[in-house]
This record gives sequence, C-alpha cells and structure tokens, in this order.
Amino acid sequence: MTAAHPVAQLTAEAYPKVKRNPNFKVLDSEDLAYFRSILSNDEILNSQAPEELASFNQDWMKKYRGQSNLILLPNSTDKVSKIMKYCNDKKLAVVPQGGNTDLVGASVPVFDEIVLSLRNMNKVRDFDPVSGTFKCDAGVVMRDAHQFLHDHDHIFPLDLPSRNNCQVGGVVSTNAGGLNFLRYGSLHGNVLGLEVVLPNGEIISNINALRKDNTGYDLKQLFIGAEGTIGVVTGVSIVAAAKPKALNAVFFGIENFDTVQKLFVKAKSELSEILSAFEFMDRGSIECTIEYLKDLPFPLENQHNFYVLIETSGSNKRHDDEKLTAFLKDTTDSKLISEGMMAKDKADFDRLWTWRKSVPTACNSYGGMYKYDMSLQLKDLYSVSAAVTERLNAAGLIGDAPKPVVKSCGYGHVGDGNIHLNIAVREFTKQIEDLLEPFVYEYIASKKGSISAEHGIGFHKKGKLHYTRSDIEIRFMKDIKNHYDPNGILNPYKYI
Amino acid sequence: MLRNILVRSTGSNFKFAGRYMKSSALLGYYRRVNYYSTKIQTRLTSENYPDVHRDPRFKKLTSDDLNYFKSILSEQEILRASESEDLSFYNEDWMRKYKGQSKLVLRPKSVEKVSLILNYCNDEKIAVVPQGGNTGLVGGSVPIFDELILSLANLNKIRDFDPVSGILKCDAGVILENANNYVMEQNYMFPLDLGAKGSCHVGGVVATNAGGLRLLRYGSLHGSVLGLEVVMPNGQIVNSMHSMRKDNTGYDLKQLFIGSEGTIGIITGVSILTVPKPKAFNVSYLSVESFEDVQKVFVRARQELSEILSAFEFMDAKSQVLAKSQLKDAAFPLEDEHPFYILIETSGSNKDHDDSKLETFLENVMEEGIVTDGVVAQDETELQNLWKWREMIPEASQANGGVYKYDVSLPLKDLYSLVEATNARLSEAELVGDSPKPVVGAIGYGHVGDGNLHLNVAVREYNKNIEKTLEPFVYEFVSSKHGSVSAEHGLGFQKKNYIGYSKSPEEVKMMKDLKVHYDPNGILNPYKYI
Repeated sequence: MTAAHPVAQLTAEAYPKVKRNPNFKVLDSEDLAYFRSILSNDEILNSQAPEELASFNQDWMKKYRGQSNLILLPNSTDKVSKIMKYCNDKKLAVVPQGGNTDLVGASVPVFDEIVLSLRNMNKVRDFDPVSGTFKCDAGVVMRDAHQFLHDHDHIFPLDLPSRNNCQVGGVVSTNAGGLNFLRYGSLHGNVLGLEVVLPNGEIISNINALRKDNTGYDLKQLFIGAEGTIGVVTGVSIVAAAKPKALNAVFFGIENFDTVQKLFVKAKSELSEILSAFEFMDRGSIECTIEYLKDLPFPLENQHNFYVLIETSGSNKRHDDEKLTAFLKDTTDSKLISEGMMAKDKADFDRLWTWRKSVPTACNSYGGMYKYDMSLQLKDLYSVSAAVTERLNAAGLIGDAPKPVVKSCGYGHVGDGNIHLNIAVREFTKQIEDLLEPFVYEYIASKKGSISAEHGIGFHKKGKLHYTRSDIEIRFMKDIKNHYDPNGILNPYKYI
Repeated sequence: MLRNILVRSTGSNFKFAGRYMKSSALLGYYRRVNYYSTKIQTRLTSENYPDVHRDPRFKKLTSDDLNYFKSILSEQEILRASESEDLSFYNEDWMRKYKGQSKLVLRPKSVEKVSLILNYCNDEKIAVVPQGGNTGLVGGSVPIFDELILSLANLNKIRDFDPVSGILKCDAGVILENANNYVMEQNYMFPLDLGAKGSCHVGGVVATNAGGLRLLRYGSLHGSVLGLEVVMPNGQIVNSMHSMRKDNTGYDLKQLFIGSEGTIGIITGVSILTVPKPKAFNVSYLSVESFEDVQKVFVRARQELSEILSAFEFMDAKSQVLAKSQLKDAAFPLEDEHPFYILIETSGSNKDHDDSKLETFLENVMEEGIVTDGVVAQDETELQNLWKWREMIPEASQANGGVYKYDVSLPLKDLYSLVEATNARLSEAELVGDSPKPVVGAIGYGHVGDGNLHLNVAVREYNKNIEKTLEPFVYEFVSSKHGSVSAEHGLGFQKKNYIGYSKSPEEVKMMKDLKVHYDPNGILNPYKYI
C-alpha cells in the first residue's frame, strides 16, 4: 500500500513499532569536524532544524519523512570512500540518495541517518560511439544522460516518467524498469560495469568492463536493485542502443483481457524487432484519464473494456509504417480489436502516449490513491485487478461520493508481465486499507507472482518479501547483507 | 575493387529450417574433429600439472559410499569404472586437453536425488564435479583427480512453456538443440546459439554464461534467464524458477549462479525468456582493407540495419586462408584476397523490408569505398555456405596439428592489435613460418558487437617454447588494454590463475568470500575458477 499524503508525517511517529537502532552513534561535533576536514563548504548541509532539509528527508510520495540534520554531497568517489570508512568505524548510519524519486521510501532516512547525496557526482565520463558504451557518474540526471546520448545518435536503454529528477546511479540501485524494458531488456543485461563504494569504504570497480567478460562471479549484478544496502553506486557503465529513426504508435480498443494477450502474441510475431512498447489500460484507468484530460479529445469513438497502446521504433519509417498499417488492418478485419487509431505524425504520437502516461496522475487527482506494482504470469495479469474491484464493490466502497473509492484501475506493461494497480480514492480510510492488505499480497502469492515488479522493497515493503521469496532465498539475502555490511549502517530499517 | 551486388533471383525464400542443415553440417565437422583427435591419447591432468595436488581433505570413495548411492539411485543412474569402461567420455574434456581419473559417475533423474547426493558428499567431504554436455573449452566440467562426476544428462524434461510470454522452463540437462527445436515449433527461438548446440545442455550453458552468436541481438543470459533452480553444496534446493520477467524483490541471487561454472551450486532447472522466431534471414560476406574499416562498417550497420542486425563477425586474411584449405570443394565467395572479411547476418519479420535495408546499406558502404567487395546470399544454400567460412575457422586452425586458443575481450579499437602483437612476438622468436617451424600463424576472428576476439595460434606441434612465448604475454597484453582474459569460455581449470589480469584483488577477494560462504568444504568443482 502506498498512500499519497500532502505533507509527510514523521516516519518515526507513523511507525512507532520501528525503533532507532541503539548501536548507531548519534552525530556529534567531532564527526562534523571530520567531514569538514575532507569536504568543502558547499558539500555539507548541516542544520538543527530538519525542515530546512525537508527535500532530502521526505520521499517523492510525501509518505515518509526522516529527521536527518546532516546532508553530505561529495563530488568524488574518493570522498564517498572516506565518508563510508569513517561512518563504518564510528557506526554512523548512512542513507545514499540520488534523485529521491523512488516510490517505496528506499532513499530517505527513517530516523536521523546521514544522507549521502550523489548529486554532485554528475559528470559523463566517457562514451564510445562504436560500441555504444556510455560511462557516467552515478549522479548524472537521467534527462541529461538521455540528452547526451541523443546528441550522439544513441538512446539510453531505459526511460522513466521521473527522468527529469532521477539519477543514473539511483536507477541502477533500484533496478528501475520503465517503458523501454520490452525492447531493450533489463538493467541486469544492459549494465556492463559499476563503480561501487562498499560500507567499509573500499572501492570496487569494474566500470571498464566490456560487453563480454566471463571471469568469475558477476558481482555487479548484486548491486543492481540492492537499493543502496550493500554498497553505494558511484559510477555506471551501460550499453546504449542506436537511436531509432522512426517512431510510431497505435491505440486499440478491446473487449477482454484474453484478446489483449492474443494481440500481444500477434504483435510479437508481426512487429517483432520494431516492437518497443505494449501497454494495456483497463476501462477504469481511461475513465479517470478522460476526466483528467478534459480538453484532450479521446482518440477512439467508443468506450471499451480494455485499451492497448503499441509503440514501434526502428531505422526505417516507411518499413515500420507498412508493418504497422498491415497489423492494424489485419486485426481490424479479423475483429480481434473493436477499434484502432494509428498516429499520423509526431503530435499524434505524443497525444496517444499522453493517454497512457497520464493514468497515474489522473488516478491521484480525486484526493489520493493506493498504488501496487506487481508481476504476474500473463494469463493471470488482470485477475488481481478484477479481484480487488470485486472485493471493494462487495464492501460497498466504490461509487459516487460520499463513497471513499472512486475507481479501481489496472494498467501496465504486458511484455514484462507487470501490472500497476491504482485504487483512486477521495480519502484514505482504515477500512479501505484493511480490505486491501494483506489481501493483495496474498493474492499475488497464490498466483506465484511478485509483490514488486519495478518499484523495489524500500521501507514500504520490508517484511513482505515472504510473499514472493522462499525462506531460503531470504536467508541468502540476509547473509549477503551481513557479509558486506556487518555493522548494518548502510540504508538500515529497509529491504531485508 | 568495387563489385556489383549479385542480382537477387526472384522467389528465393529463406526458411529458418535451413539453419538446421547448417548446424547438422557443422556437427559433422565436430564429429570429424573427435575422430581425428582420438589418435592422440589424452594425458592425465595430474601428470601434466604436477604442481596441482589432490586436496587431502577430500575423502577417497569407499564401499560404504557406493552402498549409499546404490540405496538412493537405480542401477542405470550409476556408472562405475571397470576394465571395459574407463569412463573416458566423462573424464576427458571436449578439447582432449584434460583428463581426470574419476571412478564413479552418478546420473540422477530428479532434483531430490541431486540434493541427497550433495548432502551426503558435503557431509563426507567427497569432491564433486557437475557435468552437462561437457562441451566447455577450459576444462571446467571434468575432474582433475578422482572427483565424483555428477551428470545432469538424465534431467532432461521440458517442464513448461507459455506461448504468450515465450517463457520456457526446463531441466538443466535438456540439450540446447532440443530446447530450441521445442520452442521453434511454437514460433519462438532460444536467445542463444552455439556451435556445440547438439551436445551442450541448457544448464551448462547458463552455468558457463555462454555467449554465442546471438548476444549482439538478444543480449546476455543475465538478462534472458528469469529464474533458476539450484542445489547448493550442502544439498539445499533453492527454487527461483520464476515466470516473471520483472521481479524487483531483494538481491537477484540467480545472477551469481550464471557463469559460476558449478562452483557454488548445481543448476538443475532453468526458466528463460525465448524470443519470437524470425521469419527472414539474410547473410552478406564483405571485404575491407583494414580493421578501422571493420569498425566503420559496424557503426554503419548498427545505424542502418539496427533492429534487424543479428550477427557481425570479422575474420582476418589468414583465417580464411586456413579455412580454404579445409573447404576445398567450396568456392571462395570473393574473387580476390583481402586483409579483413565481414560476415553480416540480418533476421527479421519481413523479408522485403530486410532485403531493402540490406541492399541500401551495402550500396552505401560500397559507394563510399569502405567495403571493397561483397556478396549477398541468394538462397538458403548460399546462406549456409557463407556461414561456413566463419564456422570452419576453429577446425581449420587445428588441422595442421594443433591450436592454442584464446578467447578475450578488448575495447573495439584495440580488438585486432592482440593478433598483430602476437604475430610480431612469434616472428621475433623465429617460431612462425613454413615447416619445420612449429607455428603456422596467429589468426584472429570474432564477434565485433561484443568486443570479443578469438585468437587462434595454429601450430604443427605443441611445445614449451611456443607456450612460453605466448603466456603470460597474451594475458598481460589484454590486461594492459583493460580487456578480459575470458570473454566467453570462462575460467575453468585452464584460466584459473589468470583472473588477476581482468579483475582487481578486491574483486577476487569478494569472489573467494562467496565461494567459501556457499561451499565451506570446497567440495564443489574444486581446483578451478578462483
């Protein structure tokens, strides 16, 4: 459950059962003196009034708020190393922070942990246009990475709605998924090397790694998605793809989820190498979005139970148009789809995408929403949304005001088996929460799905790993955490 | 020399089935290799490497141990050494360079039996070597001394396939070609292709993080493998056989087992994402005058062929000279000899579009003079024939008596410099030239998109002088360019001592820590890897 609040309550107050670890030292003047000796003035933010550091203490969703009074913003890996060594020796807890755009409270303090911000490490280190290998500091903002690569006729293999704020290192640390996953795959395949500072200050780097390096265990893989719990990512090497010269999109109306799946199989077969996104939205998602985008004409004439947005990208516009036109005609003639509209130009293309990208904001516009990000086998993908809707209806909670729930919406990335469940509400109530949890997690577990497809675990989903992972897997994970961070100082109270 | 692209005959139609014929032909060549090689008796590894000693911690098998295995396994699941059966098939590696002395091969039919075996061996401190198709090239899957061999060959069932997502779940012992055939019938394709596909197992492919020809298009196994079922050295079964492409819950533990070469766990099941089967294939064979031009053509191919580019292989002149001597009945596709050759494969969903893209690309690079000559396959037979000029190189390199093989990664701009440096060093030592000099020559070929060079030093005989000239020179050279001493083939026994050329001491220590943590008794695939 993620509930959006206008101003975050202190996490320590909202979760009284979570206690500050007495093993962690409380920051004192000697510690400050040490940091001042290795960092310049503009690399230190120190205040006894936490409100002044609110943007570092509060998460993107404004659900969690820590009470750190020290923010360190080192501009080099060596400084990160010194900070970590000192903190490890003194047992000072540290939270690494990038753009702070994650959705599960993974990058903000819970109590008074020191915030280690990577934003001053923002240089592009190297780019090889022959192989497409891109190397940068962890603190490079995604928008800037995209722009740099765009200027060199390449594309970053991942795109996120928060690209204007999130950083490359944070994206890797949280193993973000995003919209390009279907075409370019996961970060586990695209990241070539990482530079990481371990909790004890040691610097581990294989940032010069090549596309093929089959020597030993692939250690970098552990840091991808580790959410800053076993090391601080300070540098990233990633393979960028050639920038597509042609983009196209088509928007479909469909009547049932089985047909969405059939359409996906057909798209994979016929659009194959040019298929770059296959997004589905249910009726509720689009109804919310139609209300939200009042003045934007809906691309289809009628309402349907499901909608699909297909994007293609390739090197030849005429070929791609031919493929997509043939696909649209074939699916229309065979009545696989009820209705379809193909973008005529870039403006059309952007408008079609607006109908997908606006869904989260639209759902949130009635006062708040409960968000779930999950993975399921494709055949079960939509069933969780239907089950939740049925449960809320049975409790008489969905409908017009004054009922608290506006709509239960499901949408997501079909190719990745990833559904986003958004319960749009007018207000947050205990009754809704009790109906949703642990029902949603138990449902996911019963279908052998994952409780977190994209957003990770953070503070929000700590303690819920057993819905997806076996006891032995969880023990293995704890072993790794204990091995690399024996003092437990790095991003405590979270993950596992 | 600018040569017109041959006019395409109308009605030519490539079917993917053609790839089988090519593979079958290739398999035939491999069989010939085996036949030829049996003339040379493989020496015991323990004799060839007297500095490597049997670990005294490991128990020698007793009748009690044998009785235990008999109590949990059926007769067909146990193979013992005897006068008529020396288990050489299991004790010798593919290259016939390493030979162990195992007296016992166990071939369990279920994961539970694998678990019981390992639990027992861990308690008794009996060393174990997991073995799949035994097609590795660095001695990673054969015993060094008398380790017990645990074969996965009997774990060979396809467990599940979802035709909507393309996710295949199978036992580790399924032969790669069988897995590919299975999904092909449902219009999918395995995301990896290997020359050894008729013998290697899916589990072994994952355990060695094999690369192969499709990495350029479909990426590495770290991205394609969705889940694994692994039996730990203590017998515990860890089941992460997920059907989910996205699962961001906790450390991605399966990633450690990919490429771990059976040293921290035995992979018994694999869940992998297969890809839509392409409907159209094209192959072109080109010549260029320098390695810089190879790179230029690659950049253009990435831009213009982009999403349909599925292989970009380069070969140097000498590799084709050697290949010619083996492909006597085949006509060389080009009229003249050139310093470098390129083989480009495209695959896609629409043949007309792909043909058009390839034609435009070739017109452009030839008009600009980057490419000096080239042909495009006109039909399935020609497509297979063009591939032969690439696929025959390993065999051809060995035909004069033997070959020293190096599989390395280097930054693209430095990729070919290793071949030049090696030839210079061999010449300087007066080892290369016509008979009776022992070295025929150092040749280079490989996968440009992956920055992967195969350096083959073709020799008339093996001798210490050549080895000392080559090593550690090759590894030091690779290290100086920040390359990797093993791009595809892994470390195994052969490259165990060379990891330091590619990994820092901190990284090596982290790896050793993991090995000790998961296999504290060190029983699993000892004497190798790290």
